[in-house]
Amino acid sequence: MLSEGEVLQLLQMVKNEHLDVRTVTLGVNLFDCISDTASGFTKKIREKLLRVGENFVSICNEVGERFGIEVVNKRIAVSPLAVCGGNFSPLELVEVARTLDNVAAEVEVDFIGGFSALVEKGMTPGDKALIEAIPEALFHTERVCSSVNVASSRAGINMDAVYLMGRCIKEAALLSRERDGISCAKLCVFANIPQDIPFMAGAYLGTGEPDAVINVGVSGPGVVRKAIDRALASTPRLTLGDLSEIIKRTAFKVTRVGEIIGREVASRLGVSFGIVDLSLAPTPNVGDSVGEIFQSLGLKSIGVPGSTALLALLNDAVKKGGAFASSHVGGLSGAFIPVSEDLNIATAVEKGYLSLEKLEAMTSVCSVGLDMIAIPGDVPAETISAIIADEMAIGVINKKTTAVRIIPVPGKGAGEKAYFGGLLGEATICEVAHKGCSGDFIIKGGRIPAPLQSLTN
Amino acid sequence: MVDFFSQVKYLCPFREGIVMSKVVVSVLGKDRPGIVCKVSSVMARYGCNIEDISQTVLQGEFGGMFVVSLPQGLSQGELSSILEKDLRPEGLQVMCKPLEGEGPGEKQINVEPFVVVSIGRDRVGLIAAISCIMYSYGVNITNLKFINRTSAFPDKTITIYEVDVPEEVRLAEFVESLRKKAQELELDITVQHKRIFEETCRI
Repeated sequence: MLSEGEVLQLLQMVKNEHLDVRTVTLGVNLFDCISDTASGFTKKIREKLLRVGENFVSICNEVGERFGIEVVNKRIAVSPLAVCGGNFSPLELVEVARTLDNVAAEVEVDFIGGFSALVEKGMTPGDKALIEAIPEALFHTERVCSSVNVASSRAGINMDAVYLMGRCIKEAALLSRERDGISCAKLCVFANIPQDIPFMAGAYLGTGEPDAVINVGVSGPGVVRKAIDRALASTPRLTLGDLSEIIKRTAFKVTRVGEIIGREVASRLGVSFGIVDLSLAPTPNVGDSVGEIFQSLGLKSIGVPGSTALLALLNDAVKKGGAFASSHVGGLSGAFIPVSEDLNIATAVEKGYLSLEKLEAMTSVCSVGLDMIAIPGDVPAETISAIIADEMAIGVINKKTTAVRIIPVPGKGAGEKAYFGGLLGEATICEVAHKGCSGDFIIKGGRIPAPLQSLTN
Repeated sequence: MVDFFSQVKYLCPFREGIVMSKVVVSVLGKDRPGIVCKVSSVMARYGCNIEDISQTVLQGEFGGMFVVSLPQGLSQGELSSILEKDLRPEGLQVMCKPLEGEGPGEKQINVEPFVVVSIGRDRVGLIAAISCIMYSYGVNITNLKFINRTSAFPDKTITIYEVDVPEEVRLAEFVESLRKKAQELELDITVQHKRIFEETCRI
């Protein structure tokens, strides 16, 4: 017998606080599709994705209905194409991307990730071809997402790749200038990329993963915020230790929902269940924002002094509560601070509370990195590479995942607005200070060596 | 303090191998301290073993249900009149009936537990409408709660039905029927598998 409190609490989370499962992502290995010819490769990819993914979306919807929790996004992540399509030219790889896009539309998934390369220590001809193909591939497709891992704590930072990615981002933005450079919203540059991310744009299926696997990304910033508000309304003198405990308990519930749904989807599809990504993933809706949590905890806005400490508390509590709720945890796991995707964070940039520099500082304690940040279209490629290099260094030295998803909006300057639409939202373009001052450093190339794994002070 | 056990009339009736008849006793009355004490003491005095018990209080009224096994030599009719005689003066209404076991023709069906919650303004016929749809699908209500005006949903009444849905029922169809009716009644209705509540609220 359930208590009314138990029933009402969950109901309230679903109805008033945007509790949902942000994404169920089906990972599909494509190594058995490897072929001598691009046409053979795309044919096999098509067959396999249609076979494995045929009922994926309908199963997600059925399971969501059964538990009364919406699965908002259904996505597919495939093996890194720079590896399994390493023998193709950039043009052929663009064709592969089109195939992925078409299949994604046929099986009705929102996004398909895996147009990816792992180049932290060096680049193969396949990696170079894929990176060269990224701007065209993203421009000619709607659903394809791309990621490139350019650094790791064990390999250091591949600065040649960092330079290449700065140029790649500029080119992708220019190609999609009619839509404010939207291609860049589907492109992520990583340090220490996990193999099992369910969230886009970073989702791909790593080489140590099963043939097909279900990974789940949970949501819930609205639920956390309301839990904090309720606790403070009934006991105003709660300390940050008490509030961290409340966040932990809430994260437990949110993650548990993801775990149940993921397991059920995996079992109905007949594939393995991988991980739950314990993330607080916002949307551009009021009440579904990570930024609002900052205000509930006493800061005037995300970005003011105290923000990094608060984010550290939040990220830690989410991980602790979530880890206890799930049998297998992975992906990015933490609190996201994507500027355009979070109404409150976008407003903080607009009002001048949040700068690119503060965002960078905050990424040292959040789950990912510089995410969905619009910058002026005239920022040179070398400066974008330098921003990437800084972010990679934070990840490499702190042994955490960091990433850059930055959009140089063609023809627009700081203070203007960029519009991406849907989940990607809109954002005021951030000022980039001292642009054009980093080129001589970036063009030196080579590798920044891996840090010591001891002497960790 | 009264030592009720010194007054037990029948000695140890619970020997192995003896099949005892069971009765269901319901007790209603204004809630106050001592109701369970009185009812169970009378039962103990006559050697009745309480096997199951549940009570609830609604708007100050006590309702209790007891499943008891009778000692040899005591019939349901006798227990009924004893309880009636002892409890009526206390303002308690008692009803007894034999416990019906599973009938020979009844077969076990596989069911799945769901929780149906309806939220809306109070009006006559809400529960009748929803429960009749459940009945038409062979869905059994296993627990039912009605809550008036919570802080989360002020000005609304909430009804929580815990139900067993037979496996052969097409869930989508059942949910659709409930939704249609709920729309007519301006109710918000949700149907969720019970597991989601158990696993998120309990460790």
